[in-house]
Amino acid sequence: MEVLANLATGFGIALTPSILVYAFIGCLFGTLVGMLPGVGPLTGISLLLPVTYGLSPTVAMVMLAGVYYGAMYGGSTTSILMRIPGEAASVMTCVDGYAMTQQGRAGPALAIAAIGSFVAGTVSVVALMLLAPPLAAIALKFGPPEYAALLTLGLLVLAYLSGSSTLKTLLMAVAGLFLGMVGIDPMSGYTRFSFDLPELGDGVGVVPVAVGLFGISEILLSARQASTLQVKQPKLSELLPSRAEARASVGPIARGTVLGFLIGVIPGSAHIISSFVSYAVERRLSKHPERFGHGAVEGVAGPESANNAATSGAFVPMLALGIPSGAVPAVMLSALMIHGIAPGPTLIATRPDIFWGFIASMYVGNVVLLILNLPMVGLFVNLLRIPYTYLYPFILTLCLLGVYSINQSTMDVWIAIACGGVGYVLRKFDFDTAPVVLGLILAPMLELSVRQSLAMSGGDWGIFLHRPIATSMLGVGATLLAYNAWSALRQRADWRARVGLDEETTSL
Amino acid sequence: MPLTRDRAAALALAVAAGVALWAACRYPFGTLAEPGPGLVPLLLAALLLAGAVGLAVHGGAATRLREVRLADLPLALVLLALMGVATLALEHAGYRATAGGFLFVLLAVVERRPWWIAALLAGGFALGSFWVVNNLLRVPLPVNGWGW
Repeated sequence: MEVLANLATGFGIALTPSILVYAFIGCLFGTLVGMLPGVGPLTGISLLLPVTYGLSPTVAMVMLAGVYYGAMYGGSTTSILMRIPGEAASVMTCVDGYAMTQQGRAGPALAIAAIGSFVAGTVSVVALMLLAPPLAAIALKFGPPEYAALLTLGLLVLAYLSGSSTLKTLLMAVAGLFLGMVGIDPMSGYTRFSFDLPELGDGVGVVPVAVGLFGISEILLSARQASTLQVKQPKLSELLPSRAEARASVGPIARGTVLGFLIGVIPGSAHIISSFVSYAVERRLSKHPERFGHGAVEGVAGPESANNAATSGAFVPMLALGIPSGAVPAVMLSALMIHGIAPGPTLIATRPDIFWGFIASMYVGNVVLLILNLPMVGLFVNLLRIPYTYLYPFILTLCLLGVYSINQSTMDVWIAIACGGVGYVLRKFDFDTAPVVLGLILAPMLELSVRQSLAMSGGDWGIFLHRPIATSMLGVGATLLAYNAWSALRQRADWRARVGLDEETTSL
Repeated sequence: MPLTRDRAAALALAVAAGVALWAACRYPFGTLAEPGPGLVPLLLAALLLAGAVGLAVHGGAATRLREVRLADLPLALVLLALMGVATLALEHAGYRATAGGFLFVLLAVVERRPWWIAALLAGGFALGSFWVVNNLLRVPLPVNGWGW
């Protein structure tokens, strides 16, 4: 009852006309910013941060949260329409979202993304409201061995659930991990694999690699058919999902919401993997996994819900403990601190107006985002009416512009071009490029956790087996890998039986 | 032993792993109690090499290498080269001139669209995107010596 009373107070604050206007401005600005590759939520929030100095803390948080949500949704629009991930969290949406676009189902893909984001956002705010303090306490129990085990489990789950060859998936993930080793080693200060190029000191960015592997490589593969390529232009009546598509999306949205929220709670960049894990889970659970990669609506609904739920989950450690779980919550934390408010365990007691106003404004922000984006689906889809011979040069220019905008560095552009070429070759050779991006994201955290764990234990690998959380996660990973190997062996046996090579024949 | 797509990929990955091993050996490995900056890269390079060997062993059933269709390769190389030239020009010629020129070449030369439409679209996009990103979003884009 106390929660409901507090929430009512929060809504009293969030539903004032001025707050609604700022929520709308934040969502609109965020959506537009998110559509530009490279100019993601961090840039959007950083740009609006000075504007919030003169506003009340509640209004400032409402507007910045609107930018965050809007940018997450905007990033999925370019992923679906052009196969350009605005940021790492949108990478998985590219795969089936763009395939749906090619089949003339861009409208339903965008609508499902909007609805999934709305449902996930709303449900995860309820979870944030009720579970913030206990979840934050659990997240605090994660030390280096638990992080190392979690990230290893993430990679193994991806390989287990992958629809393509497990070995190829793991090879791509290892290549991504190696790419993540480039730059200054945080423990020793050594600059590794930078070939005396100072721009590589900070490492290889995720967005240049993702834009290259997904956006540029797609154009390299499809530009030759530009004059004959028929991206099906949807009719107005086809802009909304069919009943079957809506039904097929319910489960993925629900699972993506739970997965995204739980993964998002963990401090660090782990929340980025939520969309990867959700996609892999949906493919594994599907009765027709072969549809994934060819326009399965579940491949859009799950990851989109997961990345939006993770956005709310990321606020748990920020609000409950004062620990930002990534760059964006860190900037929002600084916005609160500018107004003289210290987030942390005492925030709920000392400034209930801020906490509950923020929670209520997140509900409002989700509704605003849905109202804003559903009518815009038709507008976005009209982009596809532009002939591909005209469209792809603009997409290429947008890729280069977006990648340059991140750090104003031509090195990032070179990386994107190189990754475009590599992505072209990898796709010709039937390799999945998403694990490279996942490996790149996880590499710094994984390396740091492994080395810290070894340092903690004096070089004893047994530390991973002496801590219950880490041991359980590694046990699950090992079981999945063993099960995968067993399935592969069984399939091989089936194949041998089908062609008449039974065990006796083989032994001869 | 037929050269399949997977075996060719395994060969390329093995070469990459070899280079990675060589590069990783340039950094100190430290001890297990105090791991150095070379330890994890070395382990990853070794994993990559082992995976490449595994792929080569199991890759016999994949499509033959000569059956991989590469009809789009010439245009892909042209596009990569044009992007390279644009990147080289970006900080010298400025964003507007580079983006405009890049788009004009793609539309008028590569796609053979009418030159005046190409010029109009390229110029409009270069100026419009510069205004949005540089002026509105305040993300600085390069300008040339004449302030363009």
